[in-house]
Amino acid sequence: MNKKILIAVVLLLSWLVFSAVYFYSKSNITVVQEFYTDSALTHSIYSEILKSEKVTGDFKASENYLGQVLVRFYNYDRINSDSVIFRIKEKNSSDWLYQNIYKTDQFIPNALFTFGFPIIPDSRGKEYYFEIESVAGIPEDAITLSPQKPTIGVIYQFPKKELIKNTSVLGEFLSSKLKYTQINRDLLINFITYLDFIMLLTVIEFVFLKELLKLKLKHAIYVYFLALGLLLLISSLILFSIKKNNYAETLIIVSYFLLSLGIFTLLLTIKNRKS
Amino acid sequence: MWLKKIKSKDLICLAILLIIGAFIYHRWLSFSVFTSGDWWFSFKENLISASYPNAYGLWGGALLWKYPYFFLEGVFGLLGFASNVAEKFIVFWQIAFLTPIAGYLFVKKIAKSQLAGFIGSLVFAYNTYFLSIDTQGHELLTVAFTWGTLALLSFIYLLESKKKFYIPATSLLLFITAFYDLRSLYVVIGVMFLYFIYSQLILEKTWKSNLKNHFINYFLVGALLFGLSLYWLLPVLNLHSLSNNEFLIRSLFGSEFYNIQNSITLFYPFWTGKEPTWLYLQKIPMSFWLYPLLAFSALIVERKNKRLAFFGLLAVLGIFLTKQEGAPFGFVYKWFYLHLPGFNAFREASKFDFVTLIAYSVLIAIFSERLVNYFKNIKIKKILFLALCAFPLINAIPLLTGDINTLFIPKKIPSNFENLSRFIQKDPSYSRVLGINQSNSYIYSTDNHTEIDLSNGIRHVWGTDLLSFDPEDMKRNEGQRLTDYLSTDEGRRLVSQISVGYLVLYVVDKPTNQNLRRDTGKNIAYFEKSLSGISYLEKTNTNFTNLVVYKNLSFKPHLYLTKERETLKKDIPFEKVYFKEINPEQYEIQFNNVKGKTYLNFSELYENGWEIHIGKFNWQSVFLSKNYSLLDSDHYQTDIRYNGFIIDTAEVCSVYKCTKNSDGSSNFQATLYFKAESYLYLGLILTGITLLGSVFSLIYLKRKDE
Repeated sequence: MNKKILIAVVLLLSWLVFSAVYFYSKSNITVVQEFYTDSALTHSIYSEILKSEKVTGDFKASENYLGQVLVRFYNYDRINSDSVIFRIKEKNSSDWLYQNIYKTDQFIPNALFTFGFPIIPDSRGKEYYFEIESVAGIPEDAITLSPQKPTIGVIYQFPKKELIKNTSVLGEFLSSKLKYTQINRDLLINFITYLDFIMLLTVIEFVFLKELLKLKLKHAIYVYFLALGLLLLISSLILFSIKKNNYAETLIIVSYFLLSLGIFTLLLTIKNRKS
Repeated sequence: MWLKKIKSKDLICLAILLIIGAFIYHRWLSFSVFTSGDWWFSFKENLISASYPNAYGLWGGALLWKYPYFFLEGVFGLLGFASNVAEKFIVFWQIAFLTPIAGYLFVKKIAKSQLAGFIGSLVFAYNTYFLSIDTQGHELLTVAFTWGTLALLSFIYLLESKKKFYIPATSLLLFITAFYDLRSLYVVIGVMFLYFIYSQLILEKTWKSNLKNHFINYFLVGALLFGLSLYWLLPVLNLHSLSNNEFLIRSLFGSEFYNIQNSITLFYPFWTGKEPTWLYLQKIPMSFWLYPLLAFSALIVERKNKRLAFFGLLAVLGIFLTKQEGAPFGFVYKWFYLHLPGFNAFREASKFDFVTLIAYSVLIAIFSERLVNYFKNIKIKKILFLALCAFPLINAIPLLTGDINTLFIPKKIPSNFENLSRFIQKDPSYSRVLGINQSNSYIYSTDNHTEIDLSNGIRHVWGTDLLSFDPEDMKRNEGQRLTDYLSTDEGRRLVSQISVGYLVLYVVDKPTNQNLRRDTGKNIAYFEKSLSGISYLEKTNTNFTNLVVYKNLSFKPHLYLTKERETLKKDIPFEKVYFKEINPEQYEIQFNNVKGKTYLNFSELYENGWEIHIGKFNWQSVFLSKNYSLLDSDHYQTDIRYNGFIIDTAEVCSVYKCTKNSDGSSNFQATLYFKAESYLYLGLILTGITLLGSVFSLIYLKRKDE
């Protein structure tokens, strides 16, 4: 195969793999996030949420597979000992679909907290009501809603099997993914970061591939150690991104040893060259 | 003269770096007030009083190395400026401008290329370690590492050129590094030592070449640094706090946050791309894996630069240290922590990020330069260069947008703090101000009116465990415990014995919406109601909008006499004694009409170094005369860990000169002093001489070279 074509194919494959891994690592690729304005909150509290006080809200699900409600809290930059009860039901229904207790010490200031529940496959068009109640909030030991926007959101979790099997679900997923992707500063920064990353990675790969194909393999041994170390490092990056943390950690340790070995042999090479 | 030597390309690079710095840190370019985490605002009175050299107190003892920094702040205080002005010159603007300059000069020296210097500077200045710690008020570490980088550069020049000029230059730069943060000096000296070894073994023709010369230079740098450090070394050695102080006996912290993934990617564990979430581990974004990829690739492509292997070595060492107790060989860090002298100052490993950072800056810069030059097409070169610059600069975006919040968003001094400061400073006599629930973002403390926190004092200073805090339930009931305690007789005695003149209760945070109240688990109405029922507290008519000031009617002065040992268990009548504070470490006391045994109470934390001399006093005699002070056995610790002295008039007057009164009582003059202060004065003189010598030799040697 022509060398140029070979390089192009490898780079294209690499671009596809790393782009997929990049976006997968950013968020679960099969989910769609939808945010609501504060009008979705039927009762909001922007001071400490004390014992038995409730934040309530309702929303109409735009898609199927509703699986999570997101609420942005503020913990006053302290660890609070309170817990909250999250409940969700269909509006006008008397039965709760799901309820659970969450310790507020895990709430990160001004970050969205995820209340997960069993996926509702036929949620589209239905109205839901949820409430978050403080179990034991007292002054100066309680959380509140964050003033940062958006405060409320939901997540639709499209099952991977359905996406693969059913093209109509895939179409539905792609159109909603496009629809709910908010064009904002964060997205722009993420996009620039991605472009920068993928471009630099591709250029590095291109240069190394080109040099490799010159078939001048009479390198000192340290080059092989370093190259292998870097290769394992890249592999561990992929494993981390697809959440295979144990394998990735082992690989990164091996990579660290190879890189260290490469440097020590490089030192020996320099020393020998000198003598 | 020196400016002419810098090439125009360098000037362009430096100018662009300064513009980028100004752009990113644009909020710091004003004299606005910034407070967050451990970074506080101080009124000018506080800056002035903190600039007096104190061997005793919060910044004395083990933290005395920081004194030149306080001195610089004090100069601004004397000029009438508060910390919002001082911090810009001596900290913030150095981070914005000097850090990229230091990065540029260092990387350029190693890589011998402006392009590499430029990219290396961006990697060095805009890394997630510096940016994260800067949100928490640990700016002094960033500044210290900046000066440390310049010291390292000067040292490399010294080894290379053998010009004597670099000896005082390196020592002075290390001296600056040390007074910004002593731990940084430890790290920088470690790197320097490794470079010295590397240079001798690898860069020199044989390991013996120039060894004597280099060793002498290395020794001279060390000797000058030693001379420049005497201001803190002498008193600290006298206080025996060099290896035994509260900062060195803490246990390891945060091992769960540090691991090899974070270390190798140079990703600070709490970095979010916006405001860091302290103690919540963040996932490493994929783009950060470019750091090791770019860095270690340099070792493959660059074969001529012999120094590069050193930075590779430094990188693997930095990675190994910053992973703390993470695999592989996690036990090594703990072993170092327990056995390596000085290593116990690093209870968490993040300071070693500097080692990886300096190595990565050089390696990435060199590889980037090779990458850009690999292509011949100018457009590709330009795009690639921009992409390489964008890579570290992306980290700085939250500073630009303000999403990072914390210390990058200007604050307004709540007017009540200014009013409170003025109100307290009006009182000329010594008294402490006891904060009940105030957070410490704004400091109005002076030597005459020290600010203390009630809860912190009870738990950590007076050491009496008065409130029997249950750690499990501490927060919820703290407010109640505090007010309950203040209403007891013991509480009244404590407040009196610690010379509290005023108690301050913070009521609301408005209008600045800053977190000014400390969480005590009780609301303000509860506090106001409880304190109004305490008979020895009188609410003042200050009418400050957001805080209430109470006057302590049972106030006892800084120094007073009693006929028996002071205690918290019962009321002991006291007598005033005439005294004059020469400085916080020296008090002239006039004992009049005393007879028999008298107890002198001094409301400062007990330290062996507090001594009393009868008669005329001078600091030189503290060194030269034997038995200059009263017996140590007459100095004791009171119930609240303060100082008490037994003055036996008959014994004193049998040895020293006293005036006898007709009623058989005696009068005599005494001086209460803190012994280590004399070592501090001596140290300051010696450091001053070394400093002058270093500066003059620097000028002389520079002129001689030219």
